[in-house]
Amino acid sequence: MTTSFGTGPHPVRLALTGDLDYDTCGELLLRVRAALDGRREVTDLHLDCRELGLVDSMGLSTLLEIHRRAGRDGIAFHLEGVGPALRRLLELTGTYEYLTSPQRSGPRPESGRGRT
Amino acid sequence: MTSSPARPRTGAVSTVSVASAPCPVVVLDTDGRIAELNDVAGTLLPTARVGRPLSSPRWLAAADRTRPAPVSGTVGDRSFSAHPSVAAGGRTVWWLMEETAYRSAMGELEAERGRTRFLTEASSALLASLNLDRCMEVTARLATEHLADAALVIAPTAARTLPVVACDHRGELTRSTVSEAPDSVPGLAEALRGFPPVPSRWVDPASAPDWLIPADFGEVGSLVITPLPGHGVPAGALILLRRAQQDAFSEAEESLAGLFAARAGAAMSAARLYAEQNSISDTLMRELLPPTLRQTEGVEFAGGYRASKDTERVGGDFYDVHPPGEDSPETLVVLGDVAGKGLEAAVLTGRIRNTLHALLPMAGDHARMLRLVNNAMRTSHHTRFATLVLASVRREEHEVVLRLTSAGHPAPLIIRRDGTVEEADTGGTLIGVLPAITSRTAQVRLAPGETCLLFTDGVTEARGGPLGDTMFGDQRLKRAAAECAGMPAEAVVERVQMVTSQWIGDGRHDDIAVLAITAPRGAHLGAVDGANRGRYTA
Repeated sequence: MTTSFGTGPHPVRLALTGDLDYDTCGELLLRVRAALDGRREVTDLHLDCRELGLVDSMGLSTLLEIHRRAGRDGIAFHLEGVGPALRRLLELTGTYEYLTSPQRSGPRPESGRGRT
Repeated sequence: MTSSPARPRTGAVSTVSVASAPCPVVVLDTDGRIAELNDVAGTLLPTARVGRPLSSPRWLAAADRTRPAPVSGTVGDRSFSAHPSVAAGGRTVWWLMEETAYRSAMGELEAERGRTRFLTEASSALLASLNLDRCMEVTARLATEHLADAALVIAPTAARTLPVVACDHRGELTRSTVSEAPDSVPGLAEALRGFPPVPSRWVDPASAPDWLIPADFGEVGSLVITPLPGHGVPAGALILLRRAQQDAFSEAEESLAGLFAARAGAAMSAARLYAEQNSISDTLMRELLPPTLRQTEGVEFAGGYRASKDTERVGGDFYDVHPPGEDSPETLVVLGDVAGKGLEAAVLTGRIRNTLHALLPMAGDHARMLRLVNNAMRTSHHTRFATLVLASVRREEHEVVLRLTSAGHPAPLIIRRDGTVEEADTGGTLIGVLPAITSRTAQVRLAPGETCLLFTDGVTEARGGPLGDTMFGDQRLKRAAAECAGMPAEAVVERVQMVTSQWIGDGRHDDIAVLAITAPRGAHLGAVDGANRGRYTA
């Protein structure tokens, strides 16, 4: 996982690699929390799934959790590089629209909307 | 001693002054008579006289005079070692060094080693089992072997009777329950209540009730009650008994008993916690295990469940079949999968199953039912979700009519009699996370011999095959399903389970749940397998 930061209002980008499953989802949550905590100026959270391997139900639960937290903190959530396997899982569970549409709620919406 | 008598500074043996030596020195002739004796030796051995044979101490008198070697022994209550040096004329000069302090330190060290050995042994014996009964037995036996003539271990209990394990003076273990109140023995109630700093209590043996004293024990000389401290809660009490002819407990023995009690208490406490947790998970398990299915209302149902090796027995997958009731004319089948593993997933599963059960009267409208379940399941503290399939089943003449709704779950497969396999046209959103959900219900008719197969992704995502890392996948499942055309429900489930198991081999897998709904073959459908048709009215 890699994280990039800037100064001032900026997006945070996390590139996910490997499988996101029961064993690894806890670490992703920790990384996201570490990347977002104490940075009030973060506007957008980008999760890059290009290198993502298998995602199981716990992995999906974790993505939903990150989405929920971002929404609560007014950070726009972007799921990028969704491959066929992940897309299939998201469509099967009816969460594709939910996770890939820009969030409309929250105090700081719309920023970085063009990316998705 | 600053100068060695064997190597005097002057070089002559005879110049060593016995009289001025700082330690007791006795010089013996070849025939054992005392040739010389210094003042210190005179004080130490008051009976010794120059010119007379040395009579005491015996260990020195008996020492070999021809080839003298160091000897040691006691004089009164002091310990000495005597080191010889040969003087002119075959005389032997015995230099006596006091070793009383050294000996007592050695004795103390030996005793301490013994205690440590005992405590180590006790720890390993006690920790060998997480069974409370076994822990109590080991405690009583070890206490009898090392601390007392007989020992009793009493466990605290909410009931009115006290469970007691006793090890008597013959080493025989007995377990019993005593219905007497612990107050009848002074100090026992306190020990069982586990007042933290309770010291071991000496009890007048005469006041001890009969149940405390093993049969044929004889007169009790001393009796000590020690609390067994547990993890936050008292683990019980240890009662040590000694016979009248034995010494009473010394302070060191009592403190050893305390150290032993700490270990025994910790082990008993751990065993008790383990037993409690086991009974909790057993109770939960019983509630969470999937039901046994059989033919109801003229429709065949069969289900199979294989828990992930990681979680055993219960996990995230579940299924239920609710027969028709007053408010719901159809049989409602639910099969689902909860994200996560183990007890957490199992508890969420239990909640979903209960909620669905309570919502049975709503089963006429799957979408509404799922919305209600979604609202009931949504929590703010986690995003665990469930995916599930609802199937409302009823007989219509020879056919079985199904309404199928998937909530984020793989669509059920319809196995036609000619071997074609279709995916039911249903889809929807998972349950328990999103504020609003959508769903699409499919209508399916099953002709006799046709089956609707519900499964969890444990089947399709099972990894195995020749290389052990290939997913079983939809296509293999469809092929396996096609081979089940015309089979009864139970055979379909067994076949799918078997094919999946063969695919997985010894590998790891998630929970796997399979459920088949089959329209029975033959003209007299209601009579298939002799099952009764219950309240069914076609």
